[in-house]
Amino acid sequence: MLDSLITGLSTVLQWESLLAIIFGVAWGTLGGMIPGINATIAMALLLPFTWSMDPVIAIMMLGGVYCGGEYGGSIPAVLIGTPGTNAAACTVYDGYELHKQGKTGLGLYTSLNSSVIGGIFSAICLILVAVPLAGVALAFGPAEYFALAFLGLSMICSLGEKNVFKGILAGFFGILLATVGFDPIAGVPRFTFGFMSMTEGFNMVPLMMGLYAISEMFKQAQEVMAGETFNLKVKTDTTFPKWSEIKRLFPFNIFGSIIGVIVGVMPGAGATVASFLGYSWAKRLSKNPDSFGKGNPAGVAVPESANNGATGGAMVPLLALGIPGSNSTAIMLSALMIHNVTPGPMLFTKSPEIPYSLFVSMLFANIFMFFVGYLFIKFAIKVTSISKQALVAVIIALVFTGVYAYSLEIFSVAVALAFGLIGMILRRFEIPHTASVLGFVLGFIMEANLRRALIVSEGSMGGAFFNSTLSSILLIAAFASIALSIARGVISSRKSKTSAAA
Amino acid sequence: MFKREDALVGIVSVLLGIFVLVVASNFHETTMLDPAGPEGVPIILGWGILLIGIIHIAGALLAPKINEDKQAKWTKDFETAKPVLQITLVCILYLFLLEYIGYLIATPLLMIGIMWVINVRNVKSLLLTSIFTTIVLFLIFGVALKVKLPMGFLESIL
Repeated sequence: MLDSLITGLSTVLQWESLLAIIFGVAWGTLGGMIPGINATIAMALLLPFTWSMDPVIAIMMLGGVYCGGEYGGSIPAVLIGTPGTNAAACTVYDGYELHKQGKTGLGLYTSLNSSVIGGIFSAICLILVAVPLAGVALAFGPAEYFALAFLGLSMICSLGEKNVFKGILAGFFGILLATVGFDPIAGVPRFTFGFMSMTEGFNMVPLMMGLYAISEMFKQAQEVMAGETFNLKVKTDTTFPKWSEIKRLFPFNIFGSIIGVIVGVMPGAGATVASFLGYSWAKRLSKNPDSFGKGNPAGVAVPESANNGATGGAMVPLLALGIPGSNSTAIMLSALMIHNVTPGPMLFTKSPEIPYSLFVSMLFANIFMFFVGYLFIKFAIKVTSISKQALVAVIIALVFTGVYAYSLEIFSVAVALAFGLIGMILRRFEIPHTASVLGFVLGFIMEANLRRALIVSEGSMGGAFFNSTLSSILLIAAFASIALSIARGVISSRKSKTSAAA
Repeated sequence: MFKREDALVGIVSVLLGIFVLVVASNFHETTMLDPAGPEGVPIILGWGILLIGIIHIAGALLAPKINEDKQAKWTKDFETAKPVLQITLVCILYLFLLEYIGYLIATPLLMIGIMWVINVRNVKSLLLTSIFTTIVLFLIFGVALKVKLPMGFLESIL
């Protein structure tokens, strides 16, 4: 391994390689910043240009795009409450709150630092334990995937704040949205009502853009018309946070990075699932869970470390098993095949310089991402300091254009608008749309694997889920979490009634 | 935990739950090979939503009554909803017109309409912001990313 590592390092430390990585990171960050464009699209756009390149340099550049793309979405998430990528959706909750409180620098630079730390952590894991990590991917079958998704969904109980049932309702609504379209096992159309556009179900991009960006712009418009000052009520601090603030978040960064690497390793999970699971578990395990969603920097640190931590993890099934675990790694696979490189276990023995060059390049990519991200943040802050009323119109136009660009269908834009209105209604009745998004993200994984597990066990629930130690542990943890959340909600409600009566 | 207005949440949830159960009962593909079938999860969700709706209705009925002027509250709600409804109308018009008049004309009109709703009356600001933004977006998506944006009647001219 050491020889391969030294070969990889010497490949990366050449001018062409370093320039390719820096370009990839910058391109990916820019793509991630634009709603409707994500790491996958940014990689796909560069793919044709890699034909004439050296295969190793091509792969390193795409790796840089992947890392930059997963980070870039956090910049608009903090500044305008619009996630640039699906994986940055969780960053909106606390990042945008920090911006509204005038702590813009803390939000933006926390997301940058956390992404860098998550990416470096996952690159180091790749270098040290890529092949053993591949075993983790193989340990997860349908039952384990279902149990993990169910555990993540158990979080919806605690998202209702004052009313735990509203959190559960919102989560159920999100899972219901995930069932629209062709059934994943039998191919039966569900809730499509004859519309061809609905057969593929709701796409995450218009749904997220609607629930987050459009509904937020509606809210801003209401505030303007109500006479509230549209500008931030406090002076904006865009400075880099102090070392003490950065150091305080290290445990959250490590926590998020570990989740990111493990979830990234599982095919089909990806950065979005990693960020949501990281956020939900961080809130669950926090001593002060109510502070999440109100400008807690940990609410930015964990999902950002998780989504960039997933970048390294996602390389494991791709390179060690030849299985692309996400759309982005599918693009990587295309690039490898274009250059006649066959991923799989033999790659590490026949051509070890390729995987190890990629691993080392991802380490460098995340280091470069710090400087690239720093520059992009400066630029983005200037852009968003325009008239706030104009910003509402600009953001709606940007979101509509991005959603149209993603799907080339006006129907998707209409879906984004509809979810914007739904987001407003959810806000009005204090129903947490976070839970809906969590339900939507994890609902498909949960249902598809539930049914696969039941098929494998020939209908036996016990056989499906409790024959495996891993799925048993995850399911018990999920049920305990649900019971605890409901009990906590009921007790808290009784306490507030008692204190109100007193 | 519950407020009086949660009765509305409860009623909508009950209706949604019933709707899901009725529609899902028509998903018939259950086989020995797929015990849950396409209707399994939707039916569980339907019952869950229905049950939570009933809980909300019960909770709302038991919630303490707050003395407030209902008429004033509904008027205030309508006033705050007005800009949202107006912007939504502008967006719906945009979606209808997009394919006919094209992105380059529809998008500035969209932005002008939105800014007009939120009380921007300076004509120079309206025009500059909408035209500049449309050009930038077109250059990014239409030219750099080669996205085929609808051009409407301009397609035959250009």
